[in-house]
Amino acid sequence: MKSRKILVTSALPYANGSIHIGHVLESVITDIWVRYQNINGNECLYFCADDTHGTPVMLKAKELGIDPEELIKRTREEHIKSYSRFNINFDNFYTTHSDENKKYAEDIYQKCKEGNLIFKKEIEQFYDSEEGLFLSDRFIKGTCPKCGAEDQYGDGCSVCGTTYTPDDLLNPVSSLSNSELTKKRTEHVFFDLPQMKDFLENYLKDLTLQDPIKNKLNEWIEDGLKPWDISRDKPYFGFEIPGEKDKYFYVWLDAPIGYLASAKNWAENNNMDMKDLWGESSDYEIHHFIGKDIAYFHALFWPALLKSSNIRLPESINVHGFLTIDGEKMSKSNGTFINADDFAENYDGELLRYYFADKFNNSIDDLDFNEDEFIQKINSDIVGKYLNIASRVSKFIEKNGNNLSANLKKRL
Amino acid sequence: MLNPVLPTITSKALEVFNDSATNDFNNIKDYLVDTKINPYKPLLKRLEKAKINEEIEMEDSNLINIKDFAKIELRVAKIVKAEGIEEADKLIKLHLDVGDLGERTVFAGIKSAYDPESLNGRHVVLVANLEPRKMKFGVSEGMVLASSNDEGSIYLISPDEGAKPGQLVK
Repeated sequence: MKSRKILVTSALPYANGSIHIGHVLESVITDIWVRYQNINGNECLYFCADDTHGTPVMLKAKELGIDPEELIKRTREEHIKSYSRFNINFDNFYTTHSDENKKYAEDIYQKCKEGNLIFKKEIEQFYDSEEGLFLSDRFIKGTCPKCGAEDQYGDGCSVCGTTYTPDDLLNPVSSLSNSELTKKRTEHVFFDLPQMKDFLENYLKDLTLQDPIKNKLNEWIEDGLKPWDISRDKPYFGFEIPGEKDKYFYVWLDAPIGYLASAKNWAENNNMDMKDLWGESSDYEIHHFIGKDIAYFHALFWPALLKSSNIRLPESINVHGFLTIDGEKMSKSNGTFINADDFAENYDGELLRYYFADKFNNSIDDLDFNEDEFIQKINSDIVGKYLNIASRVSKFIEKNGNNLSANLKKRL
Repeated sequence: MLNPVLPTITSKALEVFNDSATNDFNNIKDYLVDTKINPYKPLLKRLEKAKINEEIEMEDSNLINIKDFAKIELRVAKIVKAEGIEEADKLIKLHLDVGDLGERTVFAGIKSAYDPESLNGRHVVLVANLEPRKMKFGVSEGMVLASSNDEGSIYLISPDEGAKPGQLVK
């Protein structure tokens, strides 16, 4: 069998917090796949990075009284250490705040511009004048227009499940300063996604991706794609948009580009030409592993960006569901949140790999972690079966001077 | 076959076979015969429940550890003299005898429940290492412990008979 060359990524964890066992789930299934390919005679490389840009990182650094650069440096070291406790074998765990990523983001933007895929439009956005900040949906709180629940985010109600925009929210306030919001006009840069409709429809046909997700994406395409707002105003932690003043690339533009940057950084350190690794027509297959919440970005925006820059497109996007704890959504306030390091303090991280591997399948349904079930499974499968058999057999072999029989039919 | 899932455990398991077995799927031999192998060493013990979530719940609640508690210096104190403050509806000025620590003045918000004179000679529990706080009527050098309910009733905490001023409470 001809051996395959494969390049694999898992989603970039965000750099304002620790790795939790939901992150671990994704990296474990990716790592198992990568290891399987490698011991099967294929060449398989695994790239990841920290997703470092955006308002939450900026605010977290401010809260800690340090520079964002210092925060993301610390977080990256911590993340690498956490993943290693689960034997995740990245070929490169890089950062989106890198020279390589900046260059790729700028080049891709330039190519999009040349392809007439970029335009500017004035929009109206909520502004927190106390903090001097334009606010995204998640930083706006108010009363749900449907059920009247208070303290709900600007993008949807956690009580009745309605989704809406901050405009619909009653009494919207800033979640940062609790002050009333004003509306301010500002010019934003857009990527003209509707132009890519035909390309995306065709691309989705060939893409290996679970059907429920594919159907959902096709629905979105049919409902009409909207231009994608790719700029954010100052103050923002990210890359400045070339040719614009006080405008930054939206974090979701340069996050997936971080896959390219991570691969590029590895190629440079391993005397390889990036053209051969992930160029216009390189030999390496490309496979992404992601959670279902970010399928939109990976199966629509991302291929559109790659296409417009003539960079090789992924052949598969492998989507998984969320990890729940005892059947509940992972949440710090419910006590159903498990940090990766907390887990590894209590149990050998490798054993969680077995538990996840045992439960995981191709569906995009959520997967549940339950501590009792975990212990039961490890004790019954690994300790009680595999290792118990090995231990018993070893006693017989010991009687034979630790020598395996030369004749399979001969009795010891 | 388990190697991609359990890389460490399976690698250790392979050590038993010296170098005569391999993880490489394409080089798996039919049978391993007439080979000297190493003694088997246990690779994993049975798991006992560690209760990760309970620990986390504890972190999230208001629990403190023994060191945190030890930071608070609680001492028995005797009320030498208690006087009401005319301009303040709630405050009583307490002169306390704290044994070796000497005398302390504490302003306590207990006037609604206690007549100052009834307090003279009573033993109470004092937070002795609370930062002194400057108030309108003087400096308060600590706090006496009391319990209160939603209706505003206040109950001073006292040690059982025999406790001497200055004694540590822990």
